[in-house]
Amino acid sequence: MNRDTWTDIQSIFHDALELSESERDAYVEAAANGDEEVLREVRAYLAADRSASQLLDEPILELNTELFAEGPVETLLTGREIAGYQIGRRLGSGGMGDVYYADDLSLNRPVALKFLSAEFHCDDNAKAHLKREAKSLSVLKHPNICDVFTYVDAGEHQFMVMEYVEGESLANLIADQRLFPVTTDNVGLQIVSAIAAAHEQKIIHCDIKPGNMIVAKNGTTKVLDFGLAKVVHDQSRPDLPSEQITQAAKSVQIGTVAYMSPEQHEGRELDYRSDVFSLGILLYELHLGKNPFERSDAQKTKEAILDGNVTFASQTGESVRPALKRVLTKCLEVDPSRRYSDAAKLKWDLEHLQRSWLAAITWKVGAPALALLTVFAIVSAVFYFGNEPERSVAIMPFLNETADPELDYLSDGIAENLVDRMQRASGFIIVPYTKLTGVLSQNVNVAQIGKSLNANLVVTGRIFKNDGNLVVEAKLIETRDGSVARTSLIDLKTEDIQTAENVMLKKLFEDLDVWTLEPLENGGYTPGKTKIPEAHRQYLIGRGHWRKRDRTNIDLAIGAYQRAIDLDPTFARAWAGMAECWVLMSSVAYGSITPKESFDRARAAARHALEIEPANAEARTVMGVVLTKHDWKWQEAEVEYRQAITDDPNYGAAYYWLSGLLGIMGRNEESIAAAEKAKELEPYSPLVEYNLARTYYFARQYDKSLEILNRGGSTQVEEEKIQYLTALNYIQNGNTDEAIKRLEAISAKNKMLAVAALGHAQAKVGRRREATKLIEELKASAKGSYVPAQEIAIIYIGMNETDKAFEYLHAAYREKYGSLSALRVEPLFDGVRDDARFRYLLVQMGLN
Amino acid sequence: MKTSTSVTASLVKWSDGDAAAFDEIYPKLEPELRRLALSMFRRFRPGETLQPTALIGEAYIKLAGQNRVIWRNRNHFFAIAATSMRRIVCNYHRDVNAKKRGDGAIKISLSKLTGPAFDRSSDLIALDEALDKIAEFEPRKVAIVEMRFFGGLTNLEIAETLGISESTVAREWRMTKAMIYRMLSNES
Repeated sequence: MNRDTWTDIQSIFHDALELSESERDAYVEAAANGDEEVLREVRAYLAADRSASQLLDEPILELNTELFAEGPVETLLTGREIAGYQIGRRLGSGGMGDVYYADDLSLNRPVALKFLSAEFHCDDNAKAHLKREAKSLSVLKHPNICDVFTYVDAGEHQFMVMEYVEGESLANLIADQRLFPVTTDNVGLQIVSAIAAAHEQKIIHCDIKPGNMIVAKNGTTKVLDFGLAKVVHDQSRPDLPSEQITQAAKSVQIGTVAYMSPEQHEGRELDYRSDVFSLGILLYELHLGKNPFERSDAQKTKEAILDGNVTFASQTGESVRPALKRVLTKCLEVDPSRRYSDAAKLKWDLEHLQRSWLAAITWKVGAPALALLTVFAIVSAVFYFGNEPERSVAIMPFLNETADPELDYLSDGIAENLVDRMQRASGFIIVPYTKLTGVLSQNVNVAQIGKSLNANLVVTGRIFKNDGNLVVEAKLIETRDGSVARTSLIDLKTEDIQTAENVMLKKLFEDLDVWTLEPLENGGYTPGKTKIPEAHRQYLIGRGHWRKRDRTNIDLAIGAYQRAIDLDPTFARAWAGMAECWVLMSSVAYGSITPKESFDRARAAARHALEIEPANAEARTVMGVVLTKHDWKWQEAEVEYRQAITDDPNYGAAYYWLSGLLGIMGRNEESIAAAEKAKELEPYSPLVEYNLARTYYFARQYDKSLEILNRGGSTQVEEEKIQYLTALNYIQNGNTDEAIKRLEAISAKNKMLAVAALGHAQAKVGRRREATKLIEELKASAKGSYVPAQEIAIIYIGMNETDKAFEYLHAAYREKYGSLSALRVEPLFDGVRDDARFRYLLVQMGLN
Repeated sequence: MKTSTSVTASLVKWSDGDAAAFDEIYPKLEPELRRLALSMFRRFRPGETLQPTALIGEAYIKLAGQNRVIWRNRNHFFAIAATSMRRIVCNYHRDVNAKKRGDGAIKISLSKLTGPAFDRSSDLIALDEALDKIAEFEPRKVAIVEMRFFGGLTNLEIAETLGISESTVAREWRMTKAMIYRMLSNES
């Protein structure tokens, strides 16, 4: 077509469009003037114009809001809210389902939702299948299997609600060669464990491939997509048909060609051994970076699998160690009867293999891994060839040598962060940080401490100032001989304090050859924690103050926690910290608000924390304390403490409070056992030590109590309480004068703490006038601030003024004064114990 | 993102109106552009629309390592942004579809019209190829499609950018749509 013709066509087309439809054809025929080509073309364009009226009319960006999403745009659910779930981006698409990220609006947590793909929306079989998948998965609880929460039928949509795992597909990690040898073993074993658990539940996965495995940033691997799974025919129930893949699934390709077993390719009956074959391919790929059977097309791939010839070498000629090769060969046998009979047997061999993996290092070693491996080889040699059970690291609180108390929070902050990160790095057993509570106050050499905690290595450090710059020094010390294996120095400008932790951790990790999958900047989603750095900093400051635990510091801690909560109201641990402060506030040692206010506030804060993070052991424990000290619901309190222990078996404070509760209830032996357990968990905590002494005091083993009080190198923080408890023991074992001396000394600093015991002791040795004077003073100050009636009662008991004593004991009962809960066991009450009114009080309190 | 000086030079030429400069550097910039487009899309709530000018502006600032972009003029920037958008979107889908093939391939709707009669044409890649053919003899028509469909400009804005009347834009647009329709539907 020449230019003129083209110009003619266009101008006739435009002119025709000016006319009404009925006039157009006559005009076009006339205007074409006998040129057949022009006539044909214009007619065609006019016809196209009629059909194309809406073509391209909306800009593409408005038509397709998810332009870059992978998958059919018209089915995207992103942005919608369905049955209480706010749907986010699509995470992926499987054979029959689409998986979306979503926010569970009622529980405020991220979840993954699996919907049926558009093409199955009207397929009842597919719906039933999805429901069945949800049902069978919900019984399959395993750390390496993505958790299924529930199945929702919302009319138009049916979906399965699953745990959201933030991480990357194993397929991507393999393709990008981002797995280190150490992780390779680890990831492989996790997957095999998951499938073994499925097999135990009689479930065959049928679609094992790297694309169905997701590796979280901390290296935890989860098996996803049991969409093709089938349940093995149950021999014991011949009435039930085996739950074969449904019609729906049959219409899509079952499995993925390159990972299917020979029997799967041939459409034969499948059992666990089919999964074993697929696991073999996956493990091979993990170690050698490629699928052994993958060929240029599906047909050739299938032939390779049926042929069963496997060469154990990557493109670059790397191979696997012989023991592993034997395991893989056994998985990849064409004849199922020659394979492992199920994943559990494979798991057993793999575990055995890992225990001896240093024996033959013949796998690929990338440059970054080499350094790691060297360290591993050194330290693991102890583990694998020596007799020591495990390689373990204890991380000490860092010393603040800056003379700036504002930076105190860094001492625990840095160490705890290190513990947290190193726990997630491969190859280390980390001593729980709580074991080191209060360790700074002990003048012991760090290697000894490490040894006492069965650690091979100790990380210790300090923060100091040099020319105005903040410097952090960390040392890695061998506990065997106290030698310094490494020193790491990090210069931080003072104003960089917020990023200090990250910078330092990075440097420390480099220096200590710690490797972690998790990028330091991005903590990922952790329930209870915050993503806001300043909120986290305030939390650490709060905790620093809380650890010092005196009147001033508790106030400061509350202020810091409040700032953290203001910055991030979903910060569960800050709420828990707040609760821990409030629960102390009615105790004479710390605060002077009424028990009701103190416990109400504590309970409210703890509830907040538990709503956000149900497994928060600290908040759970506070609930127990409130139930103990305020509600006097002893059984319920015990349940809370035991739950806290379940949630965090290393949380010493739960045992600490539990021992107190059991003591109150007169269960002395159990109480002492719990106190000893707390001591085991926090061997260096003065508070726990003190509690142990108090437990023996309540059990009336005064000598044992005094022995503990005397052996613990007393510390400034707990000095008063230690002296106080010592004095109480002296009152009971007849050394009253010594008791009075100590109580007088305490009284000079903390009158409220000492006054009741002092007056009681004075009255006992006949100094009634002084005791009466103390009572007068207490009554006078009760006009201004809260004075616990129990304190006055205790003095009257010393004076044998029984009626007066009961007057105030009853008042204390009405006040629900916390310490009154020790009524049954507190030796100070022994003078009135035989009185009928006392027994009645015990009954009223449920302590009889 | 670090960019070499030659890339920066090309970027400057591009902002100066040299479309060929964009073609030169596009392969190097593509991953970053896609990443950026993706992240910008995610920032938008459903119902909101990504402005290509915002995307290209942000991309330029990021890539050239500059704090602001000096475009020769506003109209010119619209044209550049629309062309770039077409490139980003089409190449992205070409790649993704090449990987997925068959059923998994993404179908981008070119119209509110849907239905069996329009299946063949609901293909962004086919549109891209059609535009390439049209560009051989009617480059201005392609510019109009780019600005309207990929750039979301109005006829008035397009008229200003191209220095022609609004009615010409409307006429050209209608002709071009008919041409595209024919190419996409039966005469492939």
